[in-house]
Amino acid sequence: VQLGVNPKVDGSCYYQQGNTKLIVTVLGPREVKRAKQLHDRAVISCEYSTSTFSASERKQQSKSDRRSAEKAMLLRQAFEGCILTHLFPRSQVNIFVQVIQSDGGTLSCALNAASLALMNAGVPMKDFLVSSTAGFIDNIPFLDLNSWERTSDTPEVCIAVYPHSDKLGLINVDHARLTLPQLETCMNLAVAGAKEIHIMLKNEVKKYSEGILH
Amino acid sequence: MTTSAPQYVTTGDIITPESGFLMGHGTTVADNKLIATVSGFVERVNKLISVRPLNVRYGGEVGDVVVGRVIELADKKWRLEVGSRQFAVLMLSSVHLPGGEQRRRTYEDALQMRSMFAEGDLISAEVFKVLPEGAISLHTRNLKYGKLDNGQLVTVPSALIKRCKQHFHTLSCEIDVIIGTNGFIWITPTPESQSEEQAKDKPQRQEDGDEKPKVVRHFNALVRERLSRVRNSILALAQMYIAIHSVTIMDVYMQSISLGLRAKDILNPDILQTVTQSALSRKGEQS
Repeated sequence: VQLGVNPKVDGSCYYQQGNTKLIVTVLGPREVKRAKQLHDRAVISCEYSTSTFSASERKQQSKSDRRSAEKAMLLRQAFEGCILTHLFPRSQVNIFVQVIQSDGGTLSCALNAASLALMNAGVPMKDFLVSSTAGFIDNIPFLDLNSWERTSDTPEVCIAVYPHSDKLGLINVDHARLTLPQLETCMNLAVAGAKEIHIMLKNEVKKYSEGILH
Repeated sequence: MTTSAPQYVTTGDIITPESGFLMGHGTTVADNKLIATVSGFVERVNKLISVRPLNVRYGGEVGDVVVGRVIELADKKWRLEVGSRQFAVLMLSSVHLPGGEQRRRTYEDALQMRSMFAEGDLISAEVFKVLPEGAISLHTRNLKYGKLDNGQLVTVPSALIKRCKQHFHTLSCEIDVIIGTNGFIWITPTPESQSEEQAKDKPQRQEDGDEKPKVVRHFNALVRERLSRVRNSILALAQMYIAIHSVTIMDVYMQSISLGLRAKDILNPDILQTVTQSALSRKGEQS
């Protein structure tokens, strides 16, 4: 994890989890066109972009194709609930995700990186939203599946949790062929994983800030 | 009240489980406990607790001197980019009319707004009001504020600029500096002759009510080198996260000269540490 990688924007973060690498940049809160303004809160907008070289096969993927658009929408919904938008009426916060190398769990990593980037930008939030994925392979629950484990059509649950209140900010299930008890096991596993990540990320943020002030 | 080590919190952390504290910036209350909404260092002033992140957009308080760029002209007002969360507003009724008159703004004034400040112009102004939705309203009702030209703009994080009595400085190297509280710093060589000074300070007369006479100054290489050195000193301070004011700027400036550096070498990452040494130690003395 590296915060503040882009000095020209309000907040940025380079995030690497296993072989998944991405960069998230945050702009805002800043002025927004009158047509898109909300009179009582800030508009959150997300853009999820995958590099052509990120997967094992070179593939041009536009930002508005279904998968990227869906991930962007999920990110936006998660942060709309997390960022204290009522503090900045008539402004916007833009979150840009650029996936550099994708090896599974990209939405989850994007969420974590976006949390960090928003913190880097000084945007007030309810809590430190952290995320993790979990899935089932041959009836055994696994934490943080990579792309090799995912291609076998395994169900995967991605959750984002507010670590201090144990409330979920996002839950997304892919290949949903889970029974309810299985879903619950996955969720609990993912929440536990997310909380561990939270502790690590907290330290990173603290290290970064103290490093700036030497 | 100084604490031994400032407390660092990340978003969501409980700052203090005790009650009876006032919520400052960057805090909120949940479950009767004070919680941080941003990541930063905790500041306590008596009962007021706030969390200040290292990097945050300029907020804007009444009385701040800011430098801004005109983005658009709207109905009887200019909208300026000042690095804040919304554009700043400069009302037609808040500017100094050419000729120094005090009168009601007419319809003709509204039509001639572009001749005063056009899109892309840099202006120095003072914050006179913070609007309810968070935008700041500016005024230039003082001769020292107005359009800026013949100089260079440097942008630094607004968190590094502390509010002080004077924001207009003349550095000992004959460079004038306007340190905007929003992080926009304007540097220009000090006007030499008295007549030039007068021409710059007096409100531009509108002869025939049309074009403003624009004073274009020419600078020789030496002056431009000094200007570049000041600019790079400011950027060096910003990269090392040191508070920016005339004293620290001159610290880096003088150190770069004593180290025999050219203006462009100051921002070299290898040299950055040594050139900001005295500015850093000054910071150590104060804290």
